[in-house]
Amino acid sequence: MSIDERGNHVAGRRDLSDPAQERGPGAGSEQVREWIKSLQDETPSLAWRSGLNERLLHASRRRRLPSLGRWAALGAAAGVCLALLLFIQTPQGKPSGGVEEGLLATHSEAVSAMELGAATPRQEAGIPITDPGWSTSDLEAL
Amino acid sequence: MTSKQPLDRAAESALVARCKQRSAEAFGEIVDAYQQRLFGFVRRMAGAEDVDDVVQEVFVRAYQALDRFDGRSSLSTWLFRIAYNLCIDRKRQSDRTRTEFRLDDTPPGEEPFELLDTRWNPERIVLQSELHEAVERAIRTLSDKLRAVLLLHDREDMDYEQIAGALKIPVGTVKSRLFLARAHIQREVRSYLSEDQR
Repeated sequence: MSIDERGNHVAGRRDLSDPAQERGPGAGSEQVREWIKSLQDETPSLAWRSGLNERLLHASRRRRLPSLGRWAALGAAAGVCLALLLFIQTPQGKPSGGVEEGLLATHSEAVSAMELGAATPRQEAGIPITDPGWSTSDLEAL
Repeated sequence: MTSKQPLDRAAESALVARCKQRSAEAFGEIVDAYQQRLFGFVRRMAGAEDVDDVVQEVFVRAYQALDRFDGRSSLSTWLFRIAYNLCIDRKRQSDRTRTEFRLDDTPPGEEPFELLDTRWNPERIVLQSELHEAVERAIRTLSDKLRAVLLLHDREDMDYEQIAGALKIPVGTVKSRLFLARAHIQREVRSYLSEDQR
């Protein structure tokens, strides 16, 4: 009768003609246990331990690298987010409110009108030009 | 380099906690505590030529996976499970031929063998050495599965549940494999000794 790798009997379950099996696991088992216990194990050499330490060092470096990479990627992502936020919030040279737009439009129209000698929008609207209280001679006296 | 005594559960937990905080010294203590036992186990499971590399690999894998060690099994069970899996992988890689042993090779009319008390006898060391060699040879002729159970139970003092956890097999299978393994060792060693006494 043989036993395969799975520990199964190939031809039958138990060989009862064998005194060891008839006695059961008691006496024989203890003897086997004693034999197994009495075996000697060699002590690993210093060279082996040194080799192990090198491999552990290498493994620990490899373990640290992915975490460094993760932090770098996280930092880069945060940087990109910040840049996007600043880009969105930066004024583009255009006034955002209606008041500023009106003032600028009035100013540019007035400048154009003065350059062309035409009436200013205020004059066109019939608003009289009031005396500012000073003349060009006052400016020359400065 | 010496091998320390097996760690108790509390000491194990403390060591593992320190290892998880990246203490190289703590991991060194784990290596000190288990290296000799793992050497013996791997040498008998994988063969002498692979032992250095396999045991180093056991510790490297344990080091890399220690964050995932949840403490449900003992550290020794976990380490021996890694060792067993590595040994089996190596065996598959080397594609060695399967060894079967035959139960009917046993010589008839065996009597329980009793070793002579050879203490203080100059022949004692020789006899012991021969017995050890016979036992080692018998262990080598076991299949991997029987051998693992035998070594973990009779050599490493693991109980059935621990072995079942380490090898991921039912407790009943552990018991039957242990029975078969012991029966085989008994036969092989007695056979050798009875030949020697003739």
